[in-house]
Amino acid sequence: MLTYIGRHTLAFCDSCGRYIIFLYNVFINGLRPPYYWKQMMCQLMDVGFCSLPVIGLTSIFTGAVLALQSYTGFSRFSAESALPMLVVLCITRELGPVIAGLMFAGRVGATMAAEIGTMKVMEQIDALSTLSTCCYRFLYWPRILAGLLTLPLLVFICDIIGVFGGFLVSVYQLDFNAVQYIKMTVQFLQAEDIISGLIKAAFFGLSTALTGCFQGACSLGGAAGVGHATRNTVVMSSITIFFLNYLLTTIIFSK
Amino acid sequence: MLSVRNLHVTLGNRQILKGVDFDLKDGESLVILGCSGTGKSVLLKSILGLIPKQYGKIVVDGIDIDQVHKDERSKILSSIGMLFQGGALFDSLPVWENVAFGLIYGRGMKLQDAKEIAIDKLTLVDLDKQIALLYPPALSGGMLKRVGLARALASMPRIIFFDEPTTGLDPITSNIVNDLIVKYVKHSDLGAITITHDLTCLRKIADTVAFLFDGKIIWTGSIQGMDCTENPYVRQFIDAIPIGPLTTKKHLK
Repeated sequence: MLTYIGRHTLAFCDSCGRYIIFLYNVFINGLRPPYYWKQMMCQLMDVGFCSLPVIGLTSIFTGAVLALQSYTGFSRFSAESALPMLVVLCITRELGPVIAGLMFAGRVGATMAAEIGTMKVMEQIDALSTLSTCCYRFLYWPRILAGLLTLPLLVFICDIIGVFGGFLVSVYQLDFNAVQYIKMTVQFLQAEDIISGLIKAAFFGLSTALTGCFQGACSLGGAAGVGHATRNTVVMSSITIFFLNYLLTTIIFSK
Repeated sequence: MLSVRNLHVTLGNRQILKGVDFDLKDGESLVILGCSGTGKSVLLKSILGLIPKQYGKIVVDGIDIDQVHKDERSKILSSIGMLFQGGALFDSLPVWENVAFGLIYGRGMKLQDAKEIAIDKLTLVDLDKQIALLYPPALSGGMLKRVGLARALASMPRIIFFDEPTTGLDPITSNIVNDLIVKYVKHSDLGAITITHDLTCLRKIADTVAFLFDGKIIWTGSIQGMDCTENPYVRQFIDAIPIGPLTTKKHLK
């Protein structure tokens, strides 16, 4: 039993140490020139723009279901009129960033881990070094910056789509007045609600990209190793998103 | 040109290299032989700094690479090119960009100039210009090796490492790759270290042969010396005898 605990504790400490060294190398090398703008643009396009359909679809259905469920609950104590307020607050503060973050972890984090892991086992990362190219600057930094910058933008768009999903259901299925619904939505929404969601999204994007790159860079042993890295990325990113969501909510809304 | 002294490398709990010593002279082609799993690829990667060494000394052109600043070390190591076992080409880039990769991203050369050099190098390794626009997954094993060779040559290295250049190729393609290596290594001042199990390849390209066993180079000599050596390890390897000192139970464990 002691051996088991000792072995796992050492493995955990080893992973933490390697992650810290990885972070140090990423930021020390990434901030120094040369900057690979083409790689950066490719990642912004792939990580950001190409994620929009899947995250957008998730948001519209989330908004729609939220409106339906809330209406059922509110109607029990005749508070249906609070529906627009609830939809917009839930979407911008919580559901938008968290749902988008989880989809981002599944789509982008897993892709990063699989891509980098395959490059690792195929010796392509070694080849980069022999071609005088720093893998931290060329491979990891553009992905990490793309994660940090694009998820807030995606969440902003998804906030709009999610609220629109709620609006569609409320107006066409629950017989709300469209003008009244929009009026109430705008009236109750504050800049702080949107900004808090965007701050969360930036943290989620950064942590997902870092996890994907780190797991990919650490993958060993062929296809099984890459699969392991991909699975670890999705699991760890998702857990990190929930943990960060709690932490950031406590910090932002504790005033 | 390149001197390695007392090189020790450990991976996990396993000591792979236990004190490797050798010298590579200008224009020399050194072939390292050894059974699978003896650390031949680890040796090349540790020289390039891709695998950290435990201790030992690596001297390139009289400069101990551990005694210089990191940037200087990178500059020195950039004079060493490498052809990886599987080619290690980047699947997302067309062939010409793979060949020109080191020039564009490593040295900041203009795209058009680098493309011209890449196409020139592809022609040198007997590949058609049309190949330049294809992506690596569309190429055969022999083509991948030749593109890898073109990439290694494009950055004008002074030393080049070949990691099993003919593994997985048919005899004719192997011969073509061997001829290309001979063309660029034996007929130039380029120093080369080749790792191979292929004795046909060895006989074509080697000036000097070194035999790696149990983490050390246990025999060094010429091809003629290898053919008439009494060293039991080398004899067992070149005569492909299943039972002998290389395959005793102790070493199979």
